[in-house]
Amino acid sequence: MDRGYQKIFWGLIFVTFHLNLGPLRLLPPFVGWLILISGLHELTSRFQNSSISIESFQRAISFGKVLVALTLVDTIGTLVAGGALMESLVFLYYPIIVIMLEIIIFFYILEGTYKVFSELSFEERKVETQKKLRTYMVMGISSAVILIFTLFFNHTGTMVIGVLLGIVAVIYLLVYFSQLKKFWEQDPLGKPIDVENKLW
Amino acid sequence: METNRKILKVGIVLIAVLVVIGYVGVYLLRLDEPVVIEHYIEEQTYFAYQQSPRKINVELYYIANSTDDRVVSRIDFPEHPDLQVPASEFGMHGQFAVFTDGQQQTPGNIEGRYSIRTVYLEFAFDEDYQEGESIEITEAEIHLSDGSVFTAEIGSINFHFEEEHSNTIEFLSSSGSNYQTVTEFIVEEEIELVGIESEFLTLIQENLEMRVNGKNFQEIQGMIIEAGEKISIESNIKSSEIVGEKFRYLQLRPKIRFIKENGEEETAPTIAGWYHRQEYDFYEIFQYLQLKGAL
Repeated sequence: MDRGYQKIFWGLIFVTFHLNLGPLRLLPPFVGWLILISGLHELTSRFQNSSISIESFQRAISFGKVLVALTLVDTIGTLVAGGALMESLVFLYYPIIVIMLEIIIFFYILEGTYKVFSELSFEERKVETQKKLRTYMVMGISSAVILIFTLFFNHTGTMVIGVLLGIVAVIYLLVYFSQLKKFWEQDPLGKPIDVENKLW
Repeated sequence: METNRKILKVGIVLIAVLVVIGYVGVYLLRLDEPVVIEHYIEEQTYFAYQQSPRKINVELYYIANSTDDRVVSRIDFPEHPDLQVPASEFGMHGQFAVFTDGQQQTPGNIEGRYSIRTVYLEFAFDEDYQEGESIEITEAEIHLSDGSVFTAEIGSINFHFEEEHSNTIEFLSSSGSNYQTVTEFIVEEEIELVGIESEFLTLIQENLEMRVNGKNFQEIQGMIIEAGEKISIESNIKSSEIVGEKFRYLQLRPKIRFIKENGEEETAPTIAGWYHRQEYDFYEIFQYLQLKGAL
């Protein structure tokens, strides 16, 4: 469990924060999404043959694959056309479509987490996950709406607000994924979790 | 969790709808080709005071899509094919960019979906132009850095060539801003004022507040100025509220006409020109483009 959330944490870091070597981006976003998907696979395999529903995690994987494809096209397009392709009007709202897919993915990841806590009767964690998801979605959706207007009107002031709100939303998620990783790392009830037989 | 699901659904639908509206808006507001605003420019060249070639700098303004990274590489004037005029959006002492390499920032003031762009032109006239001759330019063939060309009505740019102007009134001082100028002259001999002249005066008459020695410029005919007295001209161009008028760039050189003691009629430049261009916001540009039928 902890490794799954750890990979989701690092995947999210790589898709959000860029490390460039001159014009070359060292870790293109599709690599981040692949790491995140790999983390989701760890979570699904953990509960594969148990009564815990993995449907939400699987949906997150499907949307993650769409994002891998999109960001791969973006990376190749940028390399081939030097950014001119992505600056064309057709791609005006490409960042918004990516944000929209991100919101869906993280909805399913946290919904899956909620179901795990629910099934394992971690009531406090269940309620916390629900609240965290709500706060993240409100910030993420608000950021997307602000950025839609910003991209249309080319307004720098509102762009700063939209981008900052988006970054705050991502950091908020990162903190929670880090907490989730630590939670499962610490062996919550003092003994190994046997999901299949509900022994914990 | 049901509330979260509802927030997600509403949020995604909202984002999707706004993105669709955004794309439709972007395509509806897109210009097929740049639109040049109206220019009304009058410039006099006096052979006696300027060396050949006599250079006159003119700025030409046009509206392009905010995403348009092409720049003007050349401007021809079909009415005067002999005129070779250097043109650049980077200033006359800047770079003459023919191709943008993606690294260089495209010039212009971006307002929403549009960008107000400035082309700097340097006209140079040699001895071929005779005293009393005039040139009027109303049309420009504008070449862009991607090789495309468009022809535009640009208003009216007029150049006049004269030998010299009257020395009966001597320039003393001038101050001013984009909207207001104050110019002072001293009169060498007694004169009777006839009026203020400018080719495009009628275009700004309603928005022009001009006083000659405190009197409205339209009422100065017959005003006597004694030798040694000053003429003070205060002028202020108010911003127009009419969309079409807002997008007129004015660069006027008004002249003062008077009758000397010996009955001769002369004109003298009032030195301070009127430069007038308003700042525009996205909605005003949109209104103007609609008025011009460009959208």
